[in-house]
Amino acid sequence: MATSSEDRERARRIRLRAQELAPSEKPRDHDAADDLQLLAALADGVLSLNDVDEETLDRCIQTFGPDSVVDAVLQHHQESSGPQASNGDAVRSSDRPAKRRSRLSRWGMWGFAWAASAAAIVITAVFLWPPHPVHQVNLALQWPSNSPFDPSAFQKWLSPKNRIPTQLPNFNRSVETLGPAEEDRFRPWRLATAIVRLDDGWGSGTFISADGWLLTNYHVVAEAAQEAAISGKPTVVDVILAHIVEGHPKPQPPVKATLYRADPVHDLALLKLEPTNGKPTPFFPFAALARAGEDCFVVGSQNNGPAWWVRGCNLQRPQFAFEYPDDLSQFATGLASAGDSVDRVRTTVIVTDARISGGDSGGPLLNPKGELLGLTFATPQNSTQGSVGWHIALQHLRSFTSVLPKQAESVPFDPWTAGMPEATMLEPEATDSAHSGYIDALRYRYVLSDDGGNPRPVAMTTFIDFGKHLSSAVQVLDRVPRGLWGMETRGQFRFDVFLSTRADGVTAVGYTNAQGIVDEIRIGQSQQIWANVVWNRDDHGIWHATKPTSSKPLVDPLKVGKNNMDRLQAIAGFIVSPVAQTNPNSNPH
Amino acid sequence: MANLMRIASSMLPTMNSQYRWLFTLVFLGCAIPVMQSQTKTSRFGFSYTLPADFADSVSDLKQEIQNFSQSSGSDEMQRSVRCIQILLAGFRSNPKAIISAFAIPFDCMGQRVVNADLPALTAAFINMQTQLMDISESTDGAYSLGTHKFWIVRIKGAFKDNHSIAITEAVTCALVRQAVVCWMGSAPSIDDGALQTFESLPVTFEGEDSRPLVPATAFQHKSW
Repeated sequence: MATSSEDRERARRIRLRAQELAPSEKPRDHDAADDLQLLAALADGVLSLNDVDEETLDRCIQTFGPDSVVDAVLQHHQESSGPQASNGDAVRSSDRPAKRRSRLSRWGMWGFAWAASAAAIVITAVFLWPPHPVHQVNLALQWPSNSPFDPSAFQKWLSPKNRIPTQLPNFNRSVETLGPAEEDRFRPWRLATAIVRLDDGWGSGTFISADGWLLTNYHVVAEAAQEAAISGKPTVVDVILAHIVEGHPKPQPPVKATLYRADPVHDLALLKLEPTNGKPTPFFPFAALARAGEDCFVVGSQNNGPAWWVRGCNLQRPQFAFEYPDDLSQFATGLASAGDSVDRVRTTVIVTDARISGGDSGGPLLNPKGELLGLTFATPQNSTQGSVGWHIALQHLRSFTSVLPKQAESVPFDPWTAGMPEATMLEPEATDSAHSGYIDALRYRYVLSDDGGNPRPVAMTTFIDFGKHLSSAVQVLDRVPRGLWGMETRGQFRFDVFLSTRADGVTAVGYTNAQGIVDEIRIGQSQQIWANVVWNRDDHGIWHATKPTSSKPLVDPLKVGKNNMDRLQAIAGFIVSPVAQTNPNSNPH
Repeated sequence: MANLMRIASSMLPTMNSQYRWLFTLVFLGCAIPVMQSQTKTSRFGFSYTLPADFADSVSDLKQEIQNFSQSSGSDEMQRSVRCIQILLAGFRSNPKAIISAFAIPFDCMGQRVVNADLPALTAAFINMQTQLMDISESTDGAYSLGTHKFWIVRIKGAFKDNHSIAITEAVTCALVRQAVVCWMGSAPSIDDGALQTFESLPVTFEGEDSRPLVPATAFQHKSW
């Protein structure tokens, strides 16, 4: 039988080569995973022996043994030539056909190997790694069973900046906004503007390239990003594009877009449309300059308003220095925390007289040529001067997109909002729990309104400073930055650890580096010692999420310092408690 | 008690012979009740004798595996980890060493493994261990115990996060009717002898004769 004789010849060649290779000669370092994939490809018939170079073949023979390579090669030939080809003695042992029938798929192999490796890793880690501190305590965070605080006892400090609207725009009303179809000169602008749809609302989006890069506001995707931060997975949202039906813009079925970059300081987010049919998307080129007094246009999809609505406006102030968080709080809550010791100038915005509303966020501000001047993000809450639109200025858009990311730059858990940007933050409480004359903890509480409109506690974050940096006599509350940017510039409140716990069971612990910047955040669940997700900040300030391959405690004595563990419990005793579980960093015997 | 035994053993040669027998009798009288080896029988068809100075730690590991499964990457990986069944775990504090056995049942994994898969499985295992360790040396081999074929790998290295801890680890895997079963010995030492106890203890396999788990010639062959 031809196939059988070919098989015999292949097997003979491999075994001869195996004999030629010196037994003591070890293969060069190489990723065994690649070679396993190669064997799987041979077995699947994706590759033939002729496709494999000698060096690789030698390495596979040495690493896995000649039998594995023979099996992989013969498996495909056997399967492709039918059962009659397998009844001979082409292979050396009589039980080979039975073996081949049950050979593992490549994924099956990895499943067994992963399980065996996981067992070995856990066993080794539990007993041998690292040198065990003598006084180690296993701590878990929990949400107190009784209501942990009375919301009425604390002043509102910061409400959600811009809640995104919860109802989609009225797609039928868009008909009324257009004249006869052939006169719609704004059609390209509508097609280059998207609706960014989340579970709980939507905003607008602005295409800046033909290959699907889409700008919107961070606050539009903040909730989705924070939900993703809990699981460590990429943030994926729905995007609705317009298409023209009988001259009118109508929604297409949603397509997916991934969050590639976020800048909460400037309220910017960059999404990338997942490849669809490769058709280029209409987009807006950047303008050269924004000039005071020039005509402008905004495009967006308002709450209960027309979809892809184009409105004219006048550009009033092209370079308005917008200060966080004071100006933000002006439209958010009316509360301002004056503090000249903290540099809060963050963003330059363009001020127009555009009438904008919820749902317009993330939409383009355009000059009459259809060039992008800015990105709509807010409007004053209590403006007495008629319509006022705020738009993120061009220089920030340029800077944000000057080098496009090659892979998604994820957004980590935000301790300053406890990962709940939709919640209202109550006035922070600074405490000197050790009565040492220094502030050692700063505690934020968060509430959401229930169906009756009553605030109910949903989260707490405690920032702990073991270093006695700030005297209790100083006005602490003016020195505390808010929002994710707090992780980069923390004002004058230094902290070593933060502990977040939420009513929904999510817990998070973050640690600062030598420069005082948060560089690691561990996410877990209530009453659980170990982290499910670990966020690390690299040298470029980019955050990466990983699922830990060995057990990492949320409250890590190696990071907190064993001398500080007791202090941590004293400060945050009502949300942390010792748990009787084996810690891999301790010797259980 | 094991430590006491060791200290006592080291003292014996220095004692006068007239006291040595007395001490030995008194000491053994105290020690014998707790020095018995523990033979563990698994529902997967083998029994293995845990040395007397190894404390049973199965319950600790089951919880850790559970924790690990919740944080192990993809759903596929988590499912695989949830399939692990810790059959045996013994820990000795001085000198520190671990002996353990675990099974990965076919019905849980949804497919079977055959003997010919063991080398590749072991290679993938070593590859994955590099996530935790910097491996300086690894050697493998094939051997048989009765009708059962084993593939063994011995690794030397150090923890990535802590190079001061050297590790010697041996894992040997075989197939039983319902699962892949692996034995693992590990010690914080680069000394091959650290695993001697693990390798020399007898194992009885699916009704066959009792034999040392790892024969002296285990690393001399690369096929069965």
